[in-house]
Amino acid sequence: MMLSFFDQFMSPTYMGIPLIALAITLPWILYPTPTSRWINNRLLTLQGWSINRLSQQIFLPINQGGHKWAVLLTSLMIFLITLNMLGLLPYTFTPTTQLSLNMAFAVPLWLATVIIGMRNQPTAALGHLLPEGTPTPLIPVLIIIETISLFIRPLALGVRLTANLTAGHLLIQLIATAAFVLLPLMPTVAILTATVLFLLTLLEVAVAMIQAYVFVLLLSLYLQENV
Amino acid sequence: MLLVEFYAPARQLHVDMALVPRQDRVVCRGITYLSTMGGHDAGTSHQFTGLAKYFNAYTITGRRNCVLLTYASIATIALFFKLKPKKEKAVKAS
Repeated sequence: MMLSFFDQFMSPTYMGIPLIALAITLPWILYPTPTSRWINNRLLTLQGWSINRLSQQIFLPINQGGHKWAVLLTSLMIFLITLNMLGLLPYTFTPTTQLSLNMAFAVPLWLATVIIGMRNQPTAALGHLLPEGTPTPLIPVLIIIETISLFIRPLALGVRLTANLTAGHLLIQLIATAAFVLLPLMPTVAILTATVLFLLTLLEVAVAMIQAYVFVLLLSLYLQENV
Repeated sequence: MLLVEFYAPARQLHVDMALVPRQDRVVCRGITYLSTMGGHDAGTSHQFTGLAKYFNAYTITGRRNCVLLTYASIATIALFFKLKPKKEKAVKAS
Protein backbone atom coordinates (compact mmCIF):
# COMPACT_ATOMS: atom_id res chain seq x y z
CA MET A 1 0.00 0.00 0.00
CA MET A 2 1.39 3.35 -1.07
CA LEU A 3 1.47 5.82 1.83
CA SER A 4 1.20 9.57 1.36
CA PHE A 5 3.30 11.96 3.39
CA PHE A 6 0.40 12.84 5.70
CA ASP A 7 -0.69 9.34 6.59
CA GLN A 8 1.63 9.36 9.58
CA PHE A 9 -0.53 12.10 11.15
CA MET A 10 -3.81 10.22 10.79
CA SER A 11 -5.18 9.01 14.11
CA PRO A 12 -4.72 5.22 13.91
CA THR A 13 -7.69 2.88 14.23
CA TYR A 14 -7.89 -0.88 14.13
CA MET A 15 -11.25 -2.44 13.36
CA GLY A 16 -12.92 0.76 14.55
CA ILE A 17 -10.96 0.94 17.82
CA PRO A 18 -8.99 4.18 18.19
CA LEU A 19 -5.41 3.25 18.94
CA ILE A 20 -4.52 6.76 20.12
CA ALA A 21 -5.66 5.66 23.58
CA LEU A 22 -2.91 3.03 23.50
CA ALA A 23 -0.38 5.59 22.26
CA ILE A 24 -1.25 7.96 25.11
CA THR A 25 -1.10 5.19 27.74
CA LEU A 26 2.32 3.95 26.64
CA PRO A 27 4.48 6.50 28.58
CA TRP A 28 2.76 5.47 31.81
CA ILE A 29 3.75 1.85 31.26
CA LEU A 30 7.35 2.66 30.37
CA TYR A 31 8.35 4.37 33.61
CA PRO A 32 9.04 2.28 36.75
CA THR A 33 6.74 2.81 39.70
CA PRO A 34 8.38 3.99 42.93
CA THR A 35 8.31 1.33 45.60
CA SER A 36 7.71 1.63 49.34
CA ARG A 37 11.34 0.74 50.05
CA TRP A 38 13.50 3.26 51.84
CA ILE A 39 16.20 3.11 49.15
CA ASN A 40 15.24 2.18 45.62
CA ASN A 41 17.34 0.80 42.81
CA ARG A 42 19.55 2.95 40.57
CA LEU A 43 16.91 3.56 37.93
CA LEU A 44 14.25 4.70 40.36
CA THR A 45 16.75 6.86 42.22
CA LEU A 46 17.80 8.51 38.96
CA GLN A 47 14.16 9.01 37.99
CA GLY A 48 13.35 10.58 41.37
CA TRP A 49 16.40 12.82 41.25
CA SER A 50 15.66 14.09 37.74
CA ILE A 51 11.99 14.75 38.58
CA ASN A 52 13.11 16.62 41.70
CA ARG A 53 15.59 18.76 39.74
CA LEU A 54 13.02 19.44 37.03
CA SER A 55 10.44 20.58 39.57
CA GLN A 56 12.95 22.83 41.32
CA GLN A 57 13.97 24.40 38.02
CA ILE A 58 10.42 25.20 36.99
CA PHE A 59 9.08 26.32 40.36
CA LEU A 60 12.01 28.43 41.55
CA PRO A 61 10.47 31.77 40.48
CA ILE A 62 6.93 30.87 41.55
CA ASN A 63 5.34 31.76 44.90
CA GLN A 64 4.36 29.21 47.52
CA GLY A 65 0.76 29.16 46.30
CA GLY A 66 1.83 27.97 42.87
CA HIS A 67 3.77 25.00 44.20
CA LYS A 68 0.54 23.00 44.27
CA TRP A 69 0.96 22.75 40.51
CA ALA A 70 4.31 20.96 40.81
CA VAL A 71 2.98 17.42 40.34
CA LEU A 72 0.73 18.44 37.45
CA LEU A 73 3.31 20.39 35.47
CA THR A 74 6.19 18.00 36.07
CA SER A 75 4.13 14.99 35.03
CA LEU A 76 2.87 16.94 32.01
CA MET A 77 6.43 17.68 30.94
CA ILE A 78 7.57 14.08 31.32
CA PHE A 79 4.47 12.94 29.43
CA LEU A 80 5.06 15.34 26.53
CA ILE A 81 8.78 14.57 26.33
CA THR A 82 8.06 10.84 26.23
CA LEU A 83 5.35 11.15 23.59
CA ASN A 84 7.58 13.35 21.43
CA MET A 85 10.62 11.11 21.73
CA LEU A 86 8.66 7.91 21.06
CA GLY A 87 7.21 9.56 17.97
CA LEU A 88 10.67 9.87 16.50
CA LEU A 89 10.94 6.08 16.19
CA PRO A 90 10.13 4.77 12.70
CA TYR A 91 6.55 3.85 11.91
CA THR A 92 5.20 5.24 15.19
CA PHE A 93 2.35 7.64 15.70
CA THR A 94 2.95 10.88 17.61
CA PRO A 95 -0.14 11.96 19.55
CA THR A 96 1.26 15.48 20.03
CA THR A 97 0.92 16.13 16.29
CA GLN A 98 -2.83 16.23 16.88
CA LEU A 99 -4.00 19.80 17.52
CA SER A 100 -6.97 18.47 19.47
CA LEU A 101 -4.70 16.85 22.06
CA ASN A 102 -2.50 19.89 22.46
CA MET A 103 -5.45 22.25 22.74
CA ALA A 104 -6.98 19.87 25.29
CA PHE A 105 -3.87 20.43 27.39
CA ALA A 106 -3.43 24.13 26.74
CA VAL A 107 -6.94 25.56 27.12
CA PRO A 108 -7.96 24.08 30.51
CA LEU A 109 -4.58 24.76 32.10
CA TRP A 110 -4.42 28.34 30.81
CA LEU A 111 -8.02 28.95 31.85
CA ALA A 112 -7.23 27.59 35.32
CA THR A 113 -4.40 30.12 35.73
CA VAL A 114 -6.69 32.98 34.64
CA ILE A 115 -9.50 31.91 36.98
CA ILE A 116 -7.05 31.55 39.87
CA GLY A 117 -5.76 35.05 39.20
CA MET A 118 -9.23 36.57 38.96
CA ARG A 119 -10.38 34.78 42.10
CA ASN A 120 -7.40 35.36 44.41
CA GLN A 121 -6.13 38.74 43.26
CA PRO A 122 -8.61 40.35 40.85
CA THR A 123 -7.07 43.83 41.09
CA ALA A 124 -3.60 42.61 40.13
CA ALA A 125 -4.95 40.30 37.44
CA LEU A 126 -6.93 43.11 35.81
CA GLY A 127 -4.17 45.65 36.39
CA HIS A 128 -1.70 43.53 34.43
CA LEU A 129 -3.78 44.11 31.32
CA LEU A 130 -2.39 47.65 31.21
CA PRO A 131 1.39 48.07 31.16
CA GLU A 132 2.68 50.49 33.78
CA GLY A 133 3.39 54.00 32.56
CA THR A 134 1.36 53.82 29.37
CA PRO A 135 0.69 57.26 27.87
CA THR A 136 -2.93 58.27 28.38
CA PRO A 137 -4.01 58.30 24.69
CA LEU A 138 -2.70 54.76 24.25
CA ILE A 139 -4.49 53.26 27.27
CA PRO A 140 -7.63 51.91 25.52
CA VAL A 141 -5.62 50.57 22.58
CA LEU A 142 -3.14 48.78 24.79
CA ILE A 143 -5.87 47.28 26.95
CA ILE A 144 -7.51 45.80 23.85
CA ILE A 145 -4.16 44.54 22.59
CA GLU A 146 -3.29 42.95 25.94
CA THR A 147 -6.72 41.31 26.12
CA ILE A 148 -6.29 39.83 22.67
CA SER A 149 -2.80 38.70 23.68
CA LEU A 150 -4.27 37.02 26.76
CA PHE A 151 -6.83 35.05 24.78
CA ILE A 152 -4.36 34.05 22.11
CA ARG A 153 -2.10 32.35 24.67
CA PRO A 154 -3.79 28.91 24.70
CA LEU A 155 -4.00 28.92 20.93
CA ALA A 156 -0.31 29.73 20.66
CA LEU A 157 0.57 27.05 23.18
CA GLY A 158 -1.30 24.32 21.33
CA VAL A 159 -0.37 25.34 17.82
CA ARG A 160 3.31 25.82 18.70
CA LEU A 161 3.65 22.21 19.85
CA THR A 162 1.57 20.84 16.98
CA ALA A 163 3.35 22.80 14.27
CA ASN A 164 6.86 22.04 15.53
CA LEU A 165 6.24 18.31 15.79
CA THR A 166 4.32 18.07 12.53
CA ALA A 167 6.87 20.08 10.55
CA GLY A 168 9.74 18.05 11.96
CA HIS A 169 8.16 14.71 11.16
CA LEU A 170 7.25 15.85 7.68
CA LEU A 171 10.79 17.04 6.99
CA ILE A 172 12.24 13.75 8.20
CA GLN A 173 9.91 11.81 5.94
CA LEU A 174 10.65 14.02 2.92
CA ILE A 175 14.41 13.84 3.29
CA ALA A 176 14.31 10.11 4.04
CA THR A 177 12.25 9.55 0.89
CA ALA A 178 14.69 11.66 -1.10
CA ALA A 179 17.68 9.69 0.21
CA PHE A 180 15.94 6.40 -0.56
CA VAL A 181 14.97 7.44 -4.10
CA LEU A 182 18.40 8.89 -4.90
CA LEU A 183 20.36 5.85 -3.70
CA PRO A 184 20.26 3.84 -6.98
CA LEU A 185 20.46 6.98 -9.14
CA MET A 186 23.11 9.18 -7.51
CA PRO A 187 24.73 7.38 -4.55
CA THR A 188 26.96 10.33 -3.60
CA VAL A 189 24.04 12.72 -3.37
CA ALA A 190 22.11 10.06 -1.46
CA ILE A 191 24.93 9.87 1.11
CA LEU A 192 24.86 13.65 1.50
CA THR A 193 21.09 13.52 1.92
CA ALA A 194 21.47 10.79 4.51
CA THR A 195 23.94 12.99 6.41
CA VAL A 196 21.42 15.83 6.36
CA LEU A 197 18.79 13.36 7.57
CA PHE A 198 21.02 12.30 10.46
CA LEU A 199 21.59 15.93 11.50
CA LEU A 200 17.90 16.67 11.16
CA THR A 201 17.06 13.71 13.38
CA LEU A 202 19.41 15.09 16.04
CA LEU A 203 17.66 18.45 15.71
CA GLU A 204 14.27 16.81 16.05
CA VAL A 205 15.36 15.05 19.23
CA ALA A 206 16.31 18.45 20.64
CA VAL A 207 13.07 20.03 19.40
CA ALA A 208 11.04 17.21 20.97
CA MET A 209 12.50 17.94 24.39
CA ILE A 210 12.60 21.71 24.05
CA GLN A 211 9.00 22.05 22.88
CA ALA A 212 7.72 20.03 25.81
CA TYR A 213 9.82 22.18 28.17
CA VAL A 214 8.60 25.42 26.54
CA PHE A 215 4.97 24.31 26.85
CA VAL A 216 5.32 23.72 30.56
CA LEU A 217 7.54 26.75 31.12
CA LEU A 218 5.00 29.09 29.55
CA LEU A 219 2.24 27.60 31.66
CA SER A 220 4.37 28.15 34.76
CA LEU A 221 4.91 31.78 33.69
CA TYR A 222 1.17 32.28 33.29
CA LEU A 223 0.72 30.76 36.73
CA GLN A 224 3.41 33.04 38.17
CA GLU A 225 1.50 36.10 36.96
CA ASN A 226 -1.67 34.99 38.68
CA VAL A 227 -0.50 33.47 41.94
CA MET B 1 15.71 71.49 40.46
CA LEU B 2 14.84 67.82 40.22
CA LEU B 3 14.30 66.63 36.68
CA VAL B 4 11.62 64.00 36.36
CA GLU B 5 11.14 62.03 33.19
CA PHE B 6 7.41 61.82 32.63
CA TYR B 7 7.43 58.62 30.62
CA ALA B 8 9.94 56.63 32.59
CA PRO B 9 7.67 54.41 34.58
CA ALA B 10 9.80 51.30 34.74
CA ARG B 11 12.68 52.99 36.48
CA GLN B 12 12.74 53.82 40.14
CA LEU B 13 13.86 57.32 40.96
CA HIS B 14 17.05 56.96 42.96
CA VAL B 15 17.96 60.24 44.57
CA ASP B 16 20.85 61.16 46.80
CA MET B 17 19.00 62.55 49.80
CA ALA B 18 21.89 64.73 50.96
CA LEU B 19 22.03 66.74 47.72
CA VAL B 20 18.34 67.33 47.02
CA PRO B 21 16.29 70.02 48.70
CA ARG B 22 13.71 68.92 51.22
CA GLN B 23 10.78 69.49 48.98
CA ASP B 24 10.57 69.75 45.22
CA ARG B 25 7.55 70.13 43.11
CA VAL B 26 7.34 69.11 39.49
CA VAL B 27 4.30 69.95 37.37
CA CYS B 28 3.88 67.86 34.26
CA ARG B 29 0.99 68.15 31.86
CA GLY B 30 -1.77 68.79 34.30
CA ILE B 31 -0.75 66.00 36.62
CA THR B 32 0.88 67.29 39.74
CA TYR B 33 3.70 65.31 41.28
CA LEU B 34 4.60 66.18 44.77
CA SER B 35 7.93 64.54 45.54
CA THR B 36 9.07 64.91 49.09
CA MET B 37 12.73 64.18 49.36
CA GLY B 38 14.50 63.23 52.48
CA GLY B 39 13.13 61.19 55.31
CA HIS B 40 11.54 57.82 54.68
CA ASP B 41 10.03 58.49 51.25
CA ALA B 42 11.70 56.49 48.50
CA GLY B 43 10.84 59.09 45.88
CA THR B 44 8.45 56.97 43.86
CA SER B 45 5.19 57.88 45.56
CA HIS B 46 2.84 59.62 43.17
CA GLN B 47 0.03 61.65 44.66
CA PHE B 48 -2.56 62.08 41.99
CA THR B 49 -5.37 64.61 42.23
CA GLY B 50 -8.81 64.62 40.72
CA LEU B 51 -9.78 61.98 38.20
CA ALA B 52 -6.16 60.85 37.87
CA LYS B 53 -6.38 59.51 41.40
CA TYR B 54 -8.70 56.76 40.20
CA PHE B 55 -7.68 56.40 36.56
CA ASN B 56 -3.95 56.35 35.91
CA ALA B 57 -1.37 54.01 34.45
CA TYR B 58 0.93 53.92 37.47
CA THR B 59 -0.87 52.43 40.47
CA ILE B 60 -2.38 48.96 40.33
CA THR B 61 -5.84 50.23 41.24
CA GLY B 62 -5.56 52.97 38.64
CA ARG B 63 -4.70 50.43 35.97
CA ARG B 64 -7.50 48.16 37.08
CA ASN B 65 -9.99 51.00 36.88
CA CYS B 66 -8.76 51.92 33.38
CA VAL B 67 -9.25 48.33 32.28
CA LEU B 68 -12.75 48.15 33.76
CA LEU B 69 -13.68 51.49 32.21
CA THR B 70 -12.48 50.34 28.79
CA TYR B 71 -14.44 47.09 29.03
CA ALA B 72 -17.55 48.97 30.20
CA SER B 73 -17.22 51.43 27.31
CA ILE B 74 -16.91 48.63 24.76
CA ALA B 75 -19.89 46.82 26.27
CA THR B 76 -21.94 50.04 26.24
CA ILE B 77 -21.14 50.72 22.58
CA ALA B 78 -21.96 47.13 21.62
CA LEU B 79 -25.22 47.26 23.57
CA PHE B 80 -26.11 50.56 21.98
CA PHE B 81 -25.74 49.22 18.46
CA LYS B 82 -27.57 46.03 19.33
CA LEU B 83 -30.57 47.78 20.86
CA LYS B 84 -30.67 50.54 18.26
CA PRO B 85 -34.00 50.36 16.37
CA LYS B 86 -33.51 49.50 12.71
CA LYS B 87 -35.22 51.88 10.31
CA GLU B 88 -37.44 50.11 7.81
CA LYS B 89 -36.29 50.75 4.34
CA ALA B 90 -38.90 52.09 2.04
CA VAL B 91 -39.65 49.70 -0.73
CA LYS B 92 -39.17 51.42 -4.06
CA ALA B 93 -41.90 50.87 -6.53
CA SER B 94 -40.58 49.08 -9.55
